[in-house]
Amino acid sequence: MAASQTIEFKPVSRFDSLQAERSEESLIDQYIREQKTLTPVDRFSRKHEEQLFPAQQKYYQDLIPLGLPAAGQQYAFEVNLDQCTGCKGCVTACHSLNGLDEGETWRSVGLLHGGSTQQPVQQTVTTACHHCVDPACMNGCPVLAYEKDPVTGIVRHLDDQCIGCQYCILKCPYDVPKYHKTKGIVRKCDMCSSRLTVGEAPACVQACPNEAIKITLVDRQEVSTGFRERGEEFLVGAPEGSYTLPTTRYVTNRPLPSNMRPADDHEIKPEHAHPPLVMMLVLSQLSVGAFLFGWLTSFFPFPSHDRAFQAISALAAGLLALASSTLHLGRPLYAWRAVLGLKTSWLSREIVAFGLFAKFAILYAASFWLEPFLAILKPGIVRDSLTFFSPATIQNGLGFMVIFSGFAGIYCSARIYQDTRREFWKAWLTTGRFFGTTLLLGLATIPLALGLSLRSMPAADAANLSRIVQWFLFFLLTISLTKLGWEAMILSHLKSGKLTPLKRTALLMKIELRNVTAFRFLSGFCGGLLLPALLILLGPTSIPPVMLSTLLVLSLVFCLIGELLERHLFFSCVIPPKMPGSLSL
Amino acid sequence: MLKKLGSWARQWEGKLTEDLVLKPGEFGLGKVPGRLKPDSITNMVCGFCSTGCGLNIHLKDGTAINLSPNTHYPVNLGMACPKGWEALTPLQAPDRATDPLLRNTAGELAPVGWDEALKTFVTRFKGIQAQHGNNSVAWLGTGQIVTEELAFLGALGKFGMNLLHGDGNTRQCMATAVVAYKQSFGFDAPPYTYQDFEESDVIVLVGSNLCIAHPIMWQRICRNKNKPEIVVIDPRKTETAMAATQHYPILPKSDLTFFYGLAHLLIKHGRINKAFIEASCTGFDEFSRHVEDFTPERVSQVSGISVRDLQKLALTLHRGQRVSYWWTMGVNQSYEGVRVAQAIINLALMTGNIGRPGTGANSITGQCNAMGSRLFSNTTNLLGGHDFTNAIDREKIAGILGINVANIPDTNSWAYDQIIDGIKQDKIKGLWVVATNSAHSWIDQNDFSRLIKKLDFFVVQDMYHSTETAQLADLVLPAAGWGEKEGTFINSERRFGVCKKVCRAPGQALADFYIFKLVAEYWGCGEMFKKWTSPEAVFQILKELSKGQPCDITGIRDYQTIDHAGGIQWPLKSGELLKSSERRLFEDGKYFHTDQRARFIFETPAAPAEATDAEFPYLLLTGRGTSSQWHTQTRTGKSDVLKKLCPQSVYVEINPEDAEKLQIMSHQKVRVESRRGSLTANAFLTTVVARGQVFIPMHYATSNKLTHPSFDPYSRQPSYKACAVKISAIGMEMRGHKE
Repeated sequence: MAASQTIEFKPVSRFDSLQAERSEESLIDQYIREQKTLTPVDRFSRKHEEQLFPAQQKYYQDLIPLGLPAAGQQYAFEVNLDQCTGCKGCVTACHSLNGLDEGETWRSVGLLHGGSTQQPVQQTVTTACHHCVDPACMNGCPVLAYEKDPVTGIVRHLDDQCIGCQYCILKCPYDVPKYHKTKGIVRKCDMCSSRLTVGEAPACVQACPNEAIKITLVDRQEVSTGFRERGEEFLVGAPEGSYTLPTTRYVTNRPLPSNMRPADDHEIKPEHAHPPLVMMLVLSQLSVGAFLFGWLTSFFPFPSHDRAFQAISALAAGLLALASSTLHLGRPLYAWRAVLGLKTSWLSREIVAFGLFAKFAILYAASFWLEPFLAILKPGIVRDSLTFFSPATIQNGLGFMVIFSGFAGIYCSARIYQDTRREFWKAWLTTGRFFGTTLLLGLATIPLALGLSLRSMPAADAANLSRIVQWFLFFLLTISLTKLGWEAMILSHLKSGKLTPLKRTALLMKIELRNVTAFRFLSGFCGGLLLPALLILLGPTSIPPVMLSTLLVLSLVFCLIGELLERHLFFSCVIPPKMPGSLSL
Repeated sequence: MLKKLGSWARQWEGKLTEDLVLKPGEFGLGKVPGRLKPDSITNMVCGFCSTGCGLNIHLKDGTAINLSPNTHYPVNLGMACPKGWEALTPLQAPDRATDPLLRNTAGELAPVGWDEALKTFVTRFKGIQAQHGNNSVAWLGTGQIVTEELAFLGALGKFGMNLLHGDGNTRQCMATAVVAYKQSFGFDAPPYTYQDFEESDVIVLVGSNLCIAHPIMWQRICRNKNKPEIVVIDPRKTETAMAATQHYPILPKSDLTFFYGLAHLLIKHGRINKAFIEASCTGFDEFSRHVEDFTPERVSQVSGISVRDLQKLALTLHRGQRVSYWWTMGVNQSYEGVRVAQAIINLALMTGNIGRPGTGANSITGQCNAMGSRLFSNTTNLLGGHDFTNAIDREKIAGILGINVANIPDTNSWAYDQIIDGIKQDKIKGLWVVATNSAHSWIDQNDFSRLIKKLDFFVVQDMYHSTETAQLADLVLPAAGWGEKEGTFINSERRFGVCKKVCRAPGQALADFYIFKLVAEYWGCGEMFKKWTSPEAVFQILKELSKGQPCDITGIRDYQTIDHAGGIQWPLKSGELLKSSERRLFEDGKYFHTDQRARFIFETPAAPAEATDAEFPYLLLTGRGTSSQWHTQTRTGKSDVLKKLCPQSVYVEINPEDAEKLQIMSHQKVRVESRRGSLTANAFLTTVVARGQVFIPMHYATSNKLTHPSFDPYSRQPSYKACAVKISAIGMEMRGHKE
C-alpha cells in the first residue's frame, strides 16, 4: 500500500476554521465530552421498578420444590436431557448472577456423541455440583471446610475455612470444586442455597430457556441403594455413581446408545505438576529414608560424626519438605487447621504424622550432641533424668520413633493419592512408588556420608567400611533397577486397544511429557545404576578420595533429580475422572 | 468460650464468604451478588444477533455493572444466550482501540490525535478521488451498528462524499432473503412475529441450527403448546436436528430440487390452497408446470432422501393447520439461495400458510441490525427501502433531507464482491471499512488480503485495533461499541429496540455517530447534516423517510415509546394504535407489488460452482460452531467465560467412516486443503456429519482460506457452504485412537 505516496491536494479551509473554533471548545473535544456522558436513566423510568416479587418467578415456580425436604430427603438437580440443546446459558447465568470472577464458572456443558452414520446421536449435558450423599470433597477436606446441610443436603463450601490445599479438587470425581488463585481458596456451586431459602430458583434454573434444569427432592437412601446395590448408571460417559452417590438425575425419553463418548474424550492434557508437592513428597521420603539407613548404621562400626552429619542432612531435607508443602497452600497461615479433619482426611493424618516426625527428627539429630551436652551440664535433677537411660538407648529410641512416624507419614501420603481413585494413583502404584523413593534416596545418602570419611580412616577400617559401602551401593542399584523397570511398565499400556486411563497416562508420558520422561529415566540410570555399578566394580578404596566424593555426590544428585522428575510425572500424567466435556482445545 | 474457640477453628463467615453473598436486587430482579447490587436498572436490546433480546442493565451511579435478561420483553421472556449474558465483558478488553492509529513511515500503526486522523482521512480520500474519480473510493459497512448510524454512513458516503459504491456485511448474511422477499412480496418484508413459533403445529427449519445460532427462538418453540412436528432440513445432524421430530439430511445443495419435489407432491395430490392462490398470488400455473418434472424418484436421487420419506414430509406439510417455514444461512449463503428461499416461499403460498398465526415463509436474520441495514444503510436501497434508479424516490428523499437531488446517485452501488473485484481491476483505490472484519470473514480470504494491499488508502473503523482487518489498515478510527452509544436496532421480526449509553468508551474512542459527524465536518459537508444532531434526531428523520413505505414507522413517537412498549415492530403508521406487541404481515392477503399479489418465482436448479472430484473429494460445509461464538470472535473472544464454552482452535468434523479410510484418528492434526488455500485443524470424528462431507465452523481465522468465491447472481451473496476440499493426516503423532 502506498501509504507514504504524496498526493497533490490542498485541504479545505474548513480545517482552519475548525481549529479556530477551539477558543471555545473544538468539535472533537465536545464529542469526546459527550461520549463520556451516559444516557440518563430517568428518561426511561420503569413501571415495574417497585416490583415486590422477582419477575422471573412466574417461569420457575414450577421448577423448584414447594417445601423443604422431608427426613431422609434432600434437594437435587434434575436435568431433562431432551430439553438441553447446548445453548450454555446456564453457565453464564450462574457466572453473572453469583458474581463470579472473570473466567470463573461453576457449571459446564459437555457433549456426548455416538450412534452410527445412519443414526447419529449427539447430546449436550449441563452439569454442576451433584451435592452427593457421600461427598468425596467433604470427606477429604483436612480442615472441615465443607458441610452437608442436614436439611437440604446441599454440599456447601466454607470459603473462610478453606486453606487452599485443593485436595477436594483431587477428590471430586466430577471436577466440581474450582481453585481461585488470587483468593487462594476453592469455590463451588452451593445450589444457590440462599436463593432457595427465600423461594427463588438457582441461577441456572432461572436462566434455562428450555426449562431443562429443575430442583427436585430425592431420597438419600434411594440414591445409595440405586448406585451401590442395584448398580444403576449415573450417566453414560460419566464416572460411576457408587463412589460419592451424586444426587443429580439425568432424565430422558430417548435412551442414549451405549457407544456415546464425551467429545473431549481424546483431549488428553497434562495436569498441574504441583512443584511444591513434588518437593514435599520427594524430600520427605528422602529424609525418612536417610533416617532409616542412618539409624541402621548404628548397628555397624560407623564413625559417630558421619552419622551425625547424615542425620543433620536428613533433618534438613525433612524440614525443607515441610516448608515446601506450605507453598502449595493458598492460605498457609491457616495450615494449623489441618488437625480438624483427622477423623476422615488422610491429608490431616499426613500432616499430623509428619509434624510428629519433624519433632522426633530434631530430637534425634540433637541426640548426637547429648554426651558433650551432658558433660557440660551441672549435676542435678535435669542431668539425672537425662542420664536415666544411656545416651545410646535414648538415641536408638528416638531413631525408632523418627522412622515409625516417618513411615506413618509416607503411608498417609500414599493414601492421600490412592483415595482419589485415579487409576495411575492406585494403591500399589502409589505406595510402591513412595516407599521405593524412600529406600532409594535413603540408600543413596549412606555411601555419601561414609565415603566422605573413608579417606581419614586407618586402612583396615577403611577397607572394612568400603565393603559395607559396596553393599549399600549394591542395594541402591537393585532398588533403582526395580523401581525404574516398574515405572516403565506403565508404558506397556500404549499397546492397549482401548483408551483406558492408564493408556492416556502412558500417552502423556510418551508425547506431551516425553522430555521429562526421558530425563527421568536418564537421571535414574546415571544415579542409581551407572555410578553405583562403576563404584562397586572399582572398589571405593581404589578411587582417589576427591573423585570418590564427587562420584558419590553425583550419584545422589542424579537419583534425587530422577525422583523429582518421577514425581512431576506422577502429578502431570494422572487422568482425573470428570463429567463428559465438550471440545476445548 | 468453647463456642468462640469453635468458631475460631471453624470459620463460617468472613471476607471470603461475604464476597459471594447474595442480596435482594429489588426492581423485580430477585437476589443478585451483593457486590453488584444496582441502584437502578434499564432495558436495552442486545447487540449480538438479530433475535434482539431485551436485557436489564444493572446500573450503579448510571454505569452498567451487570445485566440479566428482561422478563417482560416480548422477545426473550427473561432468557438470554451466553453472548447476551456476557455482553458487557468485551467492552473492557485490553485491545480496545483508544486512539486513532495512523501507519507511520516505519510501517507501524501509531497513535495520532483525532484532528490529524480526520485530516489524513479527508486528504487521502479526496486525493484519490481527484486522481481516480469519485467512485474510486468505497465503503464496506455492517449490520452491527445502530440504524441511525447506518443511515448516517450511507448518507454521508453517497450524498456528502459523492461515493457511489458502498455495501455492508449484511451481503454475507441476508442479501438472499432481501432479494427473495422483494421479488416475491414486492418489499423486503419478513412477515412473522416470534409468537408464530408458539402457534404453529408444523415448524420447518431449513439450514438453520436454531438451538445454537438462535437459542432464544428455540425457547419460543419449546413454549409451543401444540406438540408441533419440528422438521429440520439440514445435511448435518445438528443440535436442532437432534431435538426435532423429523430430520431430513439432504445432500448439500440439493435443496432447490428438494423443495420443488415437495411442491410436486403437494400439487399432485391436490394438497394446495386454491382459494388463497387465486386471491393473492400470480404465476402458480407456470410454477406448477415447472415442478412437473421433479418427480419423487428424481428428487430422491438428487437429495439422498428416500421417496417414502419425501412422501412422509409432504404429508406432514399437508396435515399441518399452521405450518411455518424458517430458514437461515443454509439457504442464504448459496449460489442459488434466492431461488431456494423462493422455493420455500412458494410452499407457504401454495398451501396458504402465510398471514395467519403460526405460519409464514420466514427468514431468520443474522446480525443484531441486519434489518436496520437492509432498510436504512443507503447501499442496495435508497434510504427507507427506496430505489436509487427511481427519479420520484430520489426527489422524495432529497426533499426530506433538504439536499440537492443531484447529490443522490441514480445508479445502484456495486455489491461487496464487486467492490473487492473493483480493487483487483484498479477501479477502487480507497476503502473505508466500518465495524466488520472482512479480512477474516470474506470468502476466499487469501485473495482478499492480497487485494487490500493494492489500495492506496485503507481505513478501518472498529472497537478493536486487533482485528485481522484493522491490522491491515493505514488508518484505524477507534469506535465506541454497543452499550457505549444510543440508537435503535431492528430485529428479525421487524422490532425496533433501543440501545443506550450505559458504559464509558475507553480513551478517545467515539461512537460511530460522532465519527461520521466529524468526517462530515472535515470533509466540508457538515452543513448537509446540521439536522443530524443526535441519534434520536436522526430517528425522527428515519420516520419521515419511511412514510408511505411498507416499513412506515411514523406512528412511533420516540425512543421512550419504543422502550415502554418493549420494542415496536414496523409498520406503525402515524395515528395507528399499537394493538399488540406481536404483529405479523399479510393478514389481509395483500402484498406489496402494485397488483397486491405475491409471485411464484422459480428457476431450473444449477450445479454448484465447485463440485467434488477425485483430487478434492470432500464437500466442506461451514457454519456456526457454538452459541458462545459470534462471527469472527472479535467480541466473544474477549470474554473468558465465552472462550471456555467453545473450542479454542479450529477443528474439522469428519465422519468416522471417512476418517478410517483416510487413517485419521480422533483429535489428530489434519490438513484441509482447497484449490485456494489450506489450514491445519484438529480432527473431530463424529457421525453428526455425513460421509463425504466435512464441517468447519466459521469463527476461526483460517476457515475462509478454503471457501470458494461463488455468488448468487441475484443477491450477490457468497456461497460459503459448499466447496471441494481434500484432507490428510499430519505427522506421525498418534495421539488419536480408533474406536
